[in-house]
Amino acid sequence: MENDQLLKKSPIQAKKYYYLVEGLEFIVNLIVTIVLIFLWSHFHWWHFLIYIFIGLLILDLLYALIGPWLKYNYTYYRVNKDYIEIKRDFFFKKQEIVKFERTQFIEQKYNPMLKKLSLVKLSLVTAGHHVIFPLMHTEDAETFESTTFDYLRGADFDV
Amino acid sequence: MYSPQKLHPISYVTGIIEAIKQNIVLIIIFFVFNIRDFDYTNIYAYIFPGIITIFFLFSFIAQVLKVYNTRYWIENDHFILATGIFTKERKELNIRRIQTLDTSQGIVNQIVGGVNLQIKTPSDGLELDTVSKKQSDFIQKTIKEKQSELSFEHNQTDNQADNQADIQLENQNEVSDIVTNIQSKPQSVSLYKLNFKELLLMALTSGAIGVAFATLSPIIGGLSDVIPWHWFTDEFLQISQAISVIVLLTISVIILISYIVGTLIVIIRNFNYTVIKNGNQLNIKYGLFNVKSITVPTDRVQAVVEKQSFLRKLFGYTSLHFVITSDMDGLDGDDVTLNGNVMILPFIKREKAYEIIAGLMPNMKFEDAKEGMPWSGFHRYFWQPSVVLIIIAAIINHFWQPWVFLIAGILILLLIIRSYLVIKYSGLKINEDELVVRNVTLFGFKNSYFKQDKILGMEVRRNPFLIKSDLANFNFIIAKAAGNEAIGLKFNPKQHVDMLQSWYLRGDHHQ
Repeated sequence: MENDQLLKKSPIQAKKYYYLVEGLEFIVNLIVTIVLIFLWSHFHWWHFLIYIFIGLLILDLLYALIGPWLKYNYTYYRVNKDYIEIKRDFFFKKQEIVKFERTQFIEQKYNPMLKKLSLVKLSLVTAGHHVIFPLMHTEDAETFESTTFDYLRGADFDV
Repeated sequence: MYSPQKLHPISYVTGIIEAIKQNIVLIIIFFVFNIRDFDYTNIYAYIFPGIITIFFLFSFIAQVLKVYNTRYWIENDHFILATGIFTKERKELNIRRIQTLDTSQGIVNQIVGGVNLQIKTPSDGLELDTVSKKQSDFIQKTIKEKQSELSFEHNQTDNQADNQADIQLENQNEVSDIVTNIQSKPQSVSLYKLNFKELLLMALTSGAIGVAFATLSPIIGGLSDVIPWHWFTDEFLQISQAISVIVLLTISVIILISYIVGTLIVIIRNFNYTVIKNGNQLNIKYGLFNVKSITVPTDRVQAVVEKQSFLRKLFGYTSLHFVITSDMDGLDGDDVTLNGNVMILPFIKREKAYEIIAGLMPNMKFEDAKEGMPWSGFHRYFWQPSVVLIIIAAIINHFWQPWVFLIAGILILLLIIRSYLVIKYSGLKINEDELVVRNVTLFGFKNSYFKQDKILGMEVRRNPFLIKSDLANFNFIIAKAAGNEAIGLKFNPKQHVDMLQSWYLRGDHHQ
């Protein structure tokens, strides 16, 4: 596989998914805030609270707008010959490396929405921790699984 | 042993204690809030205690039934524990896989001769709470016999050490010699025994004062109505009239008491600490009232950690811990092997410790780390908490007291001193496939030694500021108990981290 060495992003559908999830969360938060504001006016709570509610709502809106974009554009993964690498590259940069030989099992999670977008949440579980991949295309996930298990087949690592 | 066995009758007493434990919150609420102005004539006042009693009875009866329904036996090559009231639970442990048999004996158990026995395999375990001492010895003996029988049958040498036992060290480990004679019998060697002089010194330098203080102060707070404070203050009043002196004296008395109590706690807990090597297992036994006996398989050690407090460094003493794995969780909160960090040598001269440990782990080298970190990381250790402290101090100052800035200043000074120590004394060193990381913690030094093939993963963290000064944080993840432990250093030169990364990835596959 020649593009093994390249850092990969999630497929473009992932962005859509992130926006959907954030949007839904924002709507939920909006409803909660509206209820709070109603209670605030009804029971005559401390006046200053309204600014806090509105401030939080604006922060949430900003996050809902920017968060998914950042998440999509700054998360990478790379599958190398015998190890994987996951990078979150925005302000707080974090790079995780795990060798294949440490794998105990691979977990795939999806929900109806992810399934429709043919995406999957993949995580690799070792004896003590797990690394979560950025959203992957179902086919990529399957290739990854088969390469990992090919690598592990017949091997006798002490994990 | 081959027919179903019951638990010791003392288990019912344990059942009461367990039931109390389960309802502790309700009972405390009742005693703290209601007992004082309890109206014995009012019939409605009995509702709440009635509810508590019903809850208590329910959980007690559940415990009793559970104990009553618990049976254990050996069937073919499995140790089976069946329990449960409505939902029957059955656990089968493959005897060949049984690795450790740990016992612990609380004070009640010591009086009546009961034992809490834990049987563990690498992946799972079960607990017999409580069996009689004789029964426990018998179970251990039978399991060992069975193991040697099985391993003999299968010509397995893997579990050899498990089957071995020594007669003198503990009578519980007696083994019928018929089978074991055939195999080479590793000697059980007494590695370490904590004598009382050292135990005292250990307790005095233990820093358990904090623990004691934390336990004592709520008790004192709770009893503050009962304690005759005026006797106390009257005594001090004769010395000085100034309030500040009285407060200082009171605080120092409390601290002194905490220190004494803390020392006693440590002495009681670690009384008669003995380490015995038994094949590739370590047998550790300690405690005065609650005697614990635990077994640590040395082949499951993921990392060796040396912890040395600043105070103990002055005396040249140190303590050594093993980080081990275990896949089961939640058998028992007191189980020391479950959190994965097992103390092996609690208090020992440094050179002697490494002599012992080198014998235990012959494939590890235990070289000292190269100390010293780049000075460009110096201010990074303290500026963030300092800013937070100043903000908190400013808020408190605004609403309340002016002298909080003094406290904040002292804390910041301590942080700065600590940063200096971190820069000066932390470091790392790679020696072939072994890495040692030396951290400076809040109270002391921590050296972690581990092999490359025990590493689960690596993490590198940076942010734009760190990139600008060419620094990076790294963490190696090591399996610990059912979870993990991250061992790493902050603010390393980037080249070092790159080097570590390639060291980790280079790895010879041990096939």
